[in-house]
Amino acid sequence: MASTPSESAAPPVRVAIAGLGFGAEFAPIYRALPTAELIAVCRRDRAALDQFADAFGVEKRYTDFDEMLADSDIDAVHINTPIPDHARQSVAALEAGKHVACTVPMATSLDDCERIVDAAAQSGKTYMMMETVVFSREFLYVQDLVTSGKIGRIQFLRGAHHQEMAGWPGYWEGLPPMHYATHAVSPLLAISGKHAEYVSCFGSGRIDDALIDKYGSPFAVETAHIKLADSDLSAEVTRSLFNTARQYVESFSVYGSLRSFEWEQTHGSQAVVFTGEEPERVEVPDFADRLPEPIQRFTTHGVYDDQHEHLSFIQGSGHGGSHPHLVNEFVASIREGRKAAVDEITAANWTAVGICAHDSAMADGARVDLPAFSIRHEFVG
Amino acid sequence: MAEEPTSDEAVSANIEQDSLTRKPLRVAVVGLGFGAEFVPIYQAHPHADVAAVCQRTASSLNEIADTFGIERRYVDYEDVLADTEIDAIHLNTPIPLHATQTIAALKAGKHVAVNVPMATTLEECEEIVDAALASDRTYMMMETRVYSREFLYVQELVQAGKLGRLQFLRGSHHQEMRDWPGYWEGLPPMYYATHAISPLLAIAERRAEYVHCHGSGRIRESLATRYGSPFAIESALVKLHGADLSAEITRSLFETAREYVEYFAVYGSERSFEWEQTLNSGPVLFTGETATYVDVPDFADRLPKQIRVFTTQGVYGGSEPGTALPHASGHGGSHPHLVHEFVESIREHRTPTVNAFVAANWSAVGLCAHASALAGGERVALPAFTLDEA
Repeated sequence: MASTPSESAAPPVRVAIAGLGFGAEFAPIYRALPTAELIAVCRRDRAALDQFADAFGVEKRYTDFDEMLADSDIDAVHINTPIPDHARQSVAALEAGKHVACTVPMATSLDDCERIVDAAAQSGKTYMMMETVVFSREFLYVQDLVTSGKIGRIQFLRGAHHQEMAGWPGYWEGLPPMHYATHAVSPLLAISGKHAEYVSCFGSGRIDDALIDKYGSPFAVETAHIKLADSDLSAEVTRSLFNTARQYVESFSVYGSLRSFEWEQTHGSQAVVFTGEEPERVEVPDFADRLPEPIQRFTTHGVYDDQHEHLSFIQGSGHGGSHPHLVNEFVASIREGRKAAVDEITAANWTAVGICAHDSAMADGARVDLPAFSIRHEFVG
Repeated sequence: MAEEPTSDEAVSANIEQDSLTRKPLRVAVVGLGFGAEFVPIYQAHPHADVAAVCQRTASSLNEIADTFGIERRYVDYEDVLADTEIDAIHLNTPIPLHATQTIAALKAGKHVAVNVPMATTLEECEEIVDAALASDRTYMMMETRVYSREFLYVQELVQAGKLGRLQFLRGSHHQEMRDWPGYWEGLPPMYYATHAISPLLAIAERRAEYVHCHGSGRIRESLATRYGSPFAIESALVKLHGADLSAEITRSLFETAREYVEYFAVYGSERSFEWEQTLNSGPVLFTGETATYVDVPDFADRLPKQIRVFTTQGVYGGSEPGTALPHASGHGGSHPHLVHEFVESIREHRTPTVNAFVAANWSAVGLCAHASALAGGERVALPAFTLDEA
């Protein structure tokens, strides 16, 4: 990860963060990273915007996203706004010539995914979906096991994301479980270095009637099979959001011919590596040493003190220390003029899996093919 | 599935009363590998006795018959069928023999208990269902999973309403079968799937309606060619008939690193149960979002006192359990429950819990799932005869 002299000579990437709820987590990381500069923040609520910008010493402040895009000093926009805004804002930012980082999911429809893919291609700018799971320490640990050959031949992959969303407002009420599935899907596809080709999904159970009406989706749980393109591998993912008793978990498991990795069953019980038939509880190391020194500390520390951490940061166990890795990859890909690790096609593939899976569940499990624009037929790891 | 247990005293009193007026069921145990586990249980059961044992190898036949003091010994299954002093046959023979031996026994007027799976093809399953209907004899598949203490525990939670609404079910069975001979070499994982699917369908009290299955990974060529099945793992989605419930089951037999496990999990709106992740880590009960490791009780008190000891002890006094026991943790104490259900269903002239229709449905899930996997995950409907009621 050492920078070449020419990279060091390039000016820092000037970043704006839009949405300062979860987005606030990233502000100190951009500020600490020598190759980036946090020059603007954007939030609709003026008072909250000023309070945040004062705290972090950010001069440029916008309450309007499109107004911010007109600021020619901004090279890149990191979008942390509500999910229904992702697509429109990503396209607008790309069309304004900005590099775009955006939290998951990429968009809420296949059409919007395609618009973003097209906009990224036309603009020539970097698009990266900021999927936390594929930069978590557990993912990086398993990736090491795979690339070093310790897993042997990958035989099967499984992911799950159980989260109780009772009381979450707006967009989340009654959301089809698979419409927020990238945390469960992404590690499986990223570990295998393949894109999804088709899915078959079953819905199961039933949520409260008051929730069903919002999206016309009755299912408490959705479970999908994913066929991986150009591979003899399949994966299984399960999601629940309402009326399903389970400790919060974003889990993934990778089964190999020599070793397998399973996520911990309960919080703190530790992950298990099976060598043949022998299980061993493992301590997953931190991978801060892969980062520039000034942002290494952010793999274990959030922005706020214990009383003020963002809710999803706490629930996600700090997202496995992924935040500085995400920031570093986004900035490095821009400076090196290359595709980001989770580029627009990969982001579209991961997001489309969930959308297609729910379509399949509504059609009693019928096979649904991923759209062609979301599949790259080459190694993508 | 299981009957409501009446009080301890009542169970024993009824059994004592019956014993005075009715003859015990005369059982022949056929196949004395795993089958030997059941011999002392039938012997101890107040309503049954072991009238004969049968095994092709005379030396081990005599050894086991001597151990248990059984006089009638057969090396030829045909001779068991011809013995008019045998009421019921418990088959523990190799899987490829199940279908023909079951049908022959029913046609000979014997009640039949048989290990899983029912048969190896859908046609055979249907032939057994037809033979059972035509014979007026009892057929029961001896699925250990649905009488394991974990199953009985979860069943009690469900029946008491503690799980709330059932929302999802998951089962898996990972077992390394390297070097197991004959039938097992290269077996499609889903061809031996009843241990994974049965607890899910039994808990939900539903049959399977259709399946989608994906094969994943690859086993070595020398194994793959045996059945034309290349998959290391098969994972199936199962739609439950007449319910808005689905289940997922996963099986592996070769070249997949995993501790042996026969796992099931039941997700409810209030509570959920998950099998333990590693041997003896303890199963987990989730109440809402809170996880609790639980001790699963034994259910020997549902049994006549003479056979209660067998929920925790194997054949040879517990010190030297039979071959199937160490891996499967004694099948969760299921053996005496299975014997009891088989014997009592015959005495009470009622259909056993795992009757021919249920057995056919559970066995067909795996057969249909593998057919689906070979077709790239296409939907395969269970045959209609597996949805019939007794």
